[in-house]
Amino acid sequence: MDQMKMLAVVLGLGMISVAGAAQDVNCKMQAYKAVDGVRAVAAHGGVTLTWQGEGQQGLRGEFSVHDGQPVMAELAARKMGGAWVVLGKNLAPQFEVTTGRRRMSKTELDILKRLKLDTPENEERYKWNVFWDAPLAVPGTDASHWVGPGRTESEIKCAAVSYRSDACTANHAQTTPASDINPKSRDLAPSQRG
Amino acid sequence: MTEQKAYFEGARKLSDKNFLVMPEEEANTFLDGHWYLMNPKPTYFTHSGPRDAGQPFEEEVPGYGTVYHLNSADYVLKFVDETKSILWVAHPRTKSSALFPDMYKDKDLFLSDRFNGGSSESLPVDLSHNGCVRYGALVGITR
Repeated sequence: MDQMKMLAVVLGLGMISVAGAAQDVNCKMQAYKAVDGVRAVAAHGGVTLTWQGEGQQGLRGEFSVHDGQPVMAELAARKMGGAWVVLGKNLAPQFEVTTGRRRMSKTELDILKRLKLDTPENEERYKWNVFWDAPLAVPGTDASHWVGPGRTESEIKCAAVSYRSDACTANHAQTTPASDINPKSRDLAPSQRG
Repeated sequence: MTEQKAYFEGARKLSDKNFLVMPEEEANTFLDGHWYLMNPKPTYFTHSGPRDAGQPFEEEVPGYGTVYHLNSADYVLKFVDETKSILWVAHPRTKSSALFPDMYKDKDLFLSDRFNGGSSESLPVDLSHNGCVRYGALVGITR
């Protein structure tokens, strides 16, 4: 069930509802080997996974591609012998990254200097333990602890994952739209700072 | 010492058989970085301000009893040994303890059984986090 746990983690990172037409993607099942507890079945436009959750619950996830975006077309659960309850539809993983520049504090630098350890290598190492830094605050309010010039907007980069998926492949119990793990089929698109 | 006396009396008033308040001091002198000191019972000591050259390690002071005067790392170790106190590094590896206790891990004070680890507050340690203190803990450090 490790594969399912991993799947749950990935989907738990963030989902948004998406609208769009399902593509006519036929999932390649040739390399798929069934394992206990998880079943994958090719369906029109993707693949359907069923597996057993806690307390004899049944779980079902339908994966497909909408406008190049891998989506969970439907997530459903049911008690043992009960009717399926739809938990969500057209759920899409969304990944956003914001980066800034980490700065060492004057306090840390003073300690390094006092111990005669103020090398570039140590500054690079110890700046990651800094307390007085807020890389996304521009220009910030704690100049007394700054080393070097103040922060600027240009230091901050934002990116979001976008997809251009056009295929689906099931391997063993780990069923994933193939383009999710194919670097050529995804790119990081700059987005506005949020 | 006046402040310490008020501190001890305040802790005593807030304590009962089910809830104990133990005073501690972030002394921050004589050792590198910041550090905490906790005594097992009310104990008067001085650790800041000008030191007289002939000041004894301990003396009897009317109204306070035995008062210890700390003026060096050696005296700190002697003090915690005699009073059965403990000390630990405050906010290890960040702020003014940025390189500590790593940098004194081989010194007698750190190797003493009286040195009990570090208090790992989430200050937050990184100002890119929002919010106030999320958790705090006194943790042991493996020597």
